[in-house]
Amino acid sequence: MNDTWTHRLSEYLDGGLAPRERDACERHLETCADCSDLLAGLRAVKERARALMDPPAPDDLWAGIATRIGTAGSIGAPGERILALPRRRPHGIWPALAAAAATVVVAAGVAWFALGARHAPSAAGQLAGAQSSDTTAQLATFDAARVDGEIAQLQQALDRGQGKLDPRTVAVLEKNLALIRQAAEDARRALAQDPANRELQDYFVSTMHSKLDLMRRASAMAGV
Amino acid sequence: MSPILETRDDVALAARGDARAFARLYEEHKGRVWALARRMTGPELAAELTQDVFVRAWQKLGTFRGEARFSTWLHRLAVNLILSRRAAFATHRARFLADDQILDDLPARANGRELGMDFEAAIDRLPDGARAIFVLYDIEGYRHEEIAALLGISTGTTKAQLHRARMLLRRHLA
Repeated sequence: MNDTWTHRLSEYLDGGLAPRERDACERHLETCADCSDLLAGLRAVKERARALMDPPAPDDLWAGIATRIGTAGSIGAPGERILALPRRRPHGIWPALAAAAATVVVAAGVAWFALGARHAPSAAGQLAGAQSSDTTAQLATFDAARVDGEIAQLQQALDRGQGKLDPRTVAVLEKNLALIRQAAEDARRALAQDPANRELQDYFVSTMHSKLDLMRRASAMAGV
Repeated sequence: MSPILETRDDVALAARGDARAFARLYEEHKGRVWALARRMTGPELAAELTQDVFVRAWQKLGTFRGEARFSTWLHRLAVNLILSRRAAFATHRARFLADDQILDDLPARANGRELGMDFEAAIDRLPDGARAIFVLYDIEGYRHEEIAALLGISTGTTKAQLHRARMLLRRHLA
């Protein structure tokens, strides 16, 4: 089926045809069963789209937002207990990023301290220490070499944990490390194609930061 | 207090740095932002993107002048952010989907309660361009002129892509 009107039935359905075209289309529909059937199908799609209910949002998104806007640990999502309220500095991403990085440092440090330094220095601790010196530079642009370095450190820490940890824990951490490695490679390729795209740059900085943050926390909790 | 007045108050408070007010705004609007991100990009990226939208909203609240409703401002911010990252999404999606396999490996039809989920899954499988335009036009209610401006393409292209999306999806309702 591919007549004059086939490709314009959506326009007709949306009321987008000029009066003369609309009349001609309607005359055609009176005699063309295929186009009438197709129009009915397109109308059903449009009505189904209008009737769609929004899928429920996951419950665990706020924590990540709170960390990034500098309120982690001090404010919960509505309905949760609310503690102290730091003020937001108007505009500018650096305070939020610095706060997020600081949270990583504190979280990793607390986790390491809680473990009682039973093992060799953890990747979390090492990375936290390294971060404190040049957080801003690290977060300003997607630094592929730095990300590779962090991944390598996490891998080394994980290797040290072999034999000490539950193999299932090791498997989960290794799987996530592989995903992070792949994500870094994706980021590298995308930025190579569009190096001036600031949105893309921010996106990868942000996502790699959160992925590595999560991995550090998981590693610290596992005791590697 | 009506929800609209409450939102307006929370917007003003959040713009002055009140994180509790911003958390309430998040709670009120997260569903729509999540649904938009979920449909425009798929489940793998929607969570990160939803978080990014609210972080960006927090950073830009000072520029909100109240000329439009907050929900409209937030929605436009979300659309712009999502569309700006289409290159990254395309890279990500390419890992999972080839355009040639669009919709072909989904069951042709589901019944009853499964129909809505099946339709959502079918939307996930649309090619990126047709998908974005279908979501913005048929679900979110944007006009062709607005979509064309957002994407930097002609209205002829948006109409053609919308038709393509509907043609692909109609098989799941036949």
